[in-house]
Amino acid sequence: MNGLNLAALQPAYVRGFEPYIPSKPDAELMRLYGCARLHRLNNNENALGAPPAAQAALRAFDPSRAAIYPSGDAYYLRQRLGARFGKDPDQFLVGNGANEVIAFVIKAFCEQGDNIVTADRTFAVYEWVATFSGIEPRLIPLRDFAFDDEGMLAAMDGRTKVLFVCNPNNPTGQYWDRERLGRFLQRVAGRCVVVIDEAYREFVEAEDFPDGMALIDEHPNLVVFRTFSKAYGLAGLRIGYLAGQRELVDAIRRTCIVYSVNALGQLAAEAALDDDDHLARTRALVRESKALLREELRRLGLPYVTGEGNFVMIQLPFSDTLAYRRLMGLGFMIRSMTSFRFPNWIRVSLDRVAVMDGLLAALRTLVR
Amino acid sequence: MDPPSTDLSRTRLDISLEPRYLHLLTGFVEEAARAQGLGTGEALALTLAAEEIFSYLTGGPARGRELRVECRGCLYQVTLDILFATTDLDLRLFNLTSRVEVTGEELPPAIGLLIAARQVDHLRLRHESGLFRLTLSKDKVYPPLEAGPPPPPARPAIACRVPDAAELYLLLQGVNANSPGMLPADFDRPAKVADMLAAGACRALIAVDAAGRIGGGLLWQGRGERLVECFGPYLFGQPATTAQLLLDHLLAALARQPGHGLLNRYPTSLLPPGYFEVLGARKHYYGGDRIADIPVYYRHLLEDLGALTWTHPALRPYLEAEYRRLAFARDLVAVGEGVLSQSPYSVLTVAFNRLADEVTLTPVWWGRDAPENLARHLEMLRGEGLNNLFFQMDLGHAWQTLFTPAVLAAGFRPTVLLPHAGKGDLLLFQYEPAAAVGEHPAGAPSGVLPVGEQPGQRVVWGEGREDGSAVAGQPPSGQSAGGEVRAG
Repeated sequence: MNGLNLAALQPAYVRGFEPYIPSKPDAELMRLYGCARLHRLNNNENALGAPPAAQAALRAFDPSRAAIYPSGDAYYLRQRLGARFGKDPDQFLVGNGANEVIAFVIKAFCEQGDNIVTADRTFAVYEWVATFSGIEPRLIPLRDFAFDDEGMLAAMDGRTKVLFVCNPNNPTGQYWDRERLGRFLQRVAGRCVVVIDEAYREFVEAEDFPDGMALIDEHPNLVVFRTFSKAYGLAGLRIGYLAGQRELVDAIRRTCIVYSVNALGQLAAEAALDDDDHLARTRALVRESKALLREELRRLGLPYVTGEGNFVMIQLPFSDTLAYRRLMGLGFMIRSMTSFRFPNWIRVSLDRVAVMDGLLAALRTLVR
Repeated sequence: MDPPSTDLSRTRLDISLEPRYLHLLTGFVEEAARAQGLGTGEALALTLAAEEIFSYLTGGPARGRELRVECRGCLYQVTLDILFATTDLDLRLFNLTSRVEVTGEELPPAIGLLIAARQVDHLRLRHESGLFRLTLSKDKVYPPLEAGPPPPPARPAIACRVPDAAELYLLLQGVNANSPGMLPADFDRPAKVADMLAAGACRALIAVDAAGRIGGGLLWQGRGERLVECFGPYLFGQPATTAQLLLDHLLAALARQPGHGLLNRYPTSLLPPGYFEVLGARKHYYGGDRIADIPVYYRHLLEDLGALTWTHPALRPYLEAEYRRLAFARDLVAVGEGVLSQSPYSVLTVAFNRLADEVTLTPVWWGRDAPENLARHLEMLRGEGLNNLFFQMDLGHAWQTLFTPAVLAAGFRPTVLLPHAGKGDLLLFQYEPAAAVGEHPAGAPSGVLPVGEQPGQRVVWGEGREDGSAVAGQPPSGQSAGGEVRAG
């Protein structure tokens, strides 16, 4: 009876956290659901894949280098980032996906008793990392599907350390424009760190969308997240980064796990970064598919929400988790939104028109 | 030595299974139970249960082995876990239909287990990592809900929030006034519900208007690790949008929390469309010719990742059809012949819901006497005039599927599949008298009387929940409720 007493070893805030179980591999899901083909419309990946230069870099990778540690702080990639955004390379920290840099920031600034403020219906990882780190996540309801700036400001107190704003918001695609974000930063007035998560920045076409990178020089408390997992089509290599003023980034560097970004990811990201043509082709695909979906969803009488980003949220007249199972059987993997606190909504990543046509045909069979 | 527990509501005693430790054990249990807030009568009942189990174990092959007793309290209930290792426990004594042969004045040692089982409100037996874990719980005693007027009429609700104790009382009073009989047995004592809320054993929401007047509410609680059951929504003169408001808040509260599914087995007519799937329907026999179909509503909370389901060949066609209809991806695996324990005796727990005239049988232990044991249970329950009999089988446990032939032959038919409601999916069978085949030897051998028929006995019968635990309640007709067992 002298077994491991996990209850005594593990903090209550970890014990109480529900682990996230990711999807099984596609082959397993196809076997389970009995579908011959599976279109992944659940993770907002780039349907065009990685830019050609990144693909070439991956093909050229010498396997013998797999035995050698990568650059511990993505040295060359940070040089390229510095050049692209006109900043000191040391103003960037690169992580194993944006998820890791979220953890860097929370660990750098929060201790027990502190809180972070974000939205209730947004990318879940801010809330998750805070919760299992013993930090209170204050979740402010969205207003008209967008982050509520007034609500967030009202929720701040002396123990608020980080504000997370997903811009554009995943899953609604709504965003704060230049004026609104600027006003928000002014009112925070440096009392805490403001993170603007721009994971979907490269998809944006709205002219009044703010450029977080350009705001860094004016705001010493501003951190900007970006990723190579979405528009750059490198989700499988897990590489994301943050940027801020040097002093702030140096403070975060203390909790940064070095050597966490693999050599292939660094090489591919370096090659992908300046491929603006690929980004333009990606935006064109998203634009075309989004227009198709808007029109057909209107015809189907299904309410939807979309904005910037390569995804559309659709409201169904029945459970989204049932829709997930039915659509899986028809070869389409979507994101059910109950866990995002949007019951009966699904989020669909935008793929090529032919794939969206297939999805629409499948949806028609479900809502008939 | 194990690291010290950081949970101050939990105390632990480690002793050997030697008779000389009996008083140490009883002293520990009684004092720990009182310290956790049980009244004298309940603390003594729990102590008697522990004493009987200890005496039974020290009289058998487990004597001299380690015994661990853990006592924990959670405001409305005190729970005792008794852990021990033995291979020779006569588990069949935990069957509600157990009989003990009484010859002369001397009682057989096994009667102690029967006494223990009937002293407590909930009893669960598990076997894990070579250890038996007997979990006994005793609830505190609470005053019943007083009939009262419904809450003052509210304008259409605009917000939902967690009620305080006074609001909870009003909500329960309102449900009782507006929808009598709709509250599950666990929720008929407001002070108990308040304690359950404070202990995190259940949760509640009320819908309020701008002035804070209560327009309705709902309650929910976990059923096992992966299923949440909700009750309601209950509305007091509110528009249908209030039901939607309550369910939206419930689903928001459940998001990113443990729980794969949300069940609603006792739906009100106010359930808004589009929120639940209908898994199937149970028949409700009112006695006589009146029968109603009661749909079982369910909502999956996550993207289903598929699962393994154990099956008996006789169930495979039904399961394949149902999984296809419900669009749940499952790998059906047949249980191999002879790979599982061949114990001679099976154990079933019986959970009563007398308000709903329902009983659910749950297998605890597989044994070769399953057909006879099941038949004995059926005979007893039908003899009590109970009209709605269920058997639930956890398809995540291979051994439970061994009951299939016995269950089908006894007249049960598969009715509803509850995804992730146990270790795996739970298959609910319902007894249909016309479906019974054959006769089973259910008669008592000469000289053996069912418990409850022993002269002079007063027995607390199990009452309960579908999680397999027993809950004290009204005894079957002809029996008296009480905590004392005498025989001879």
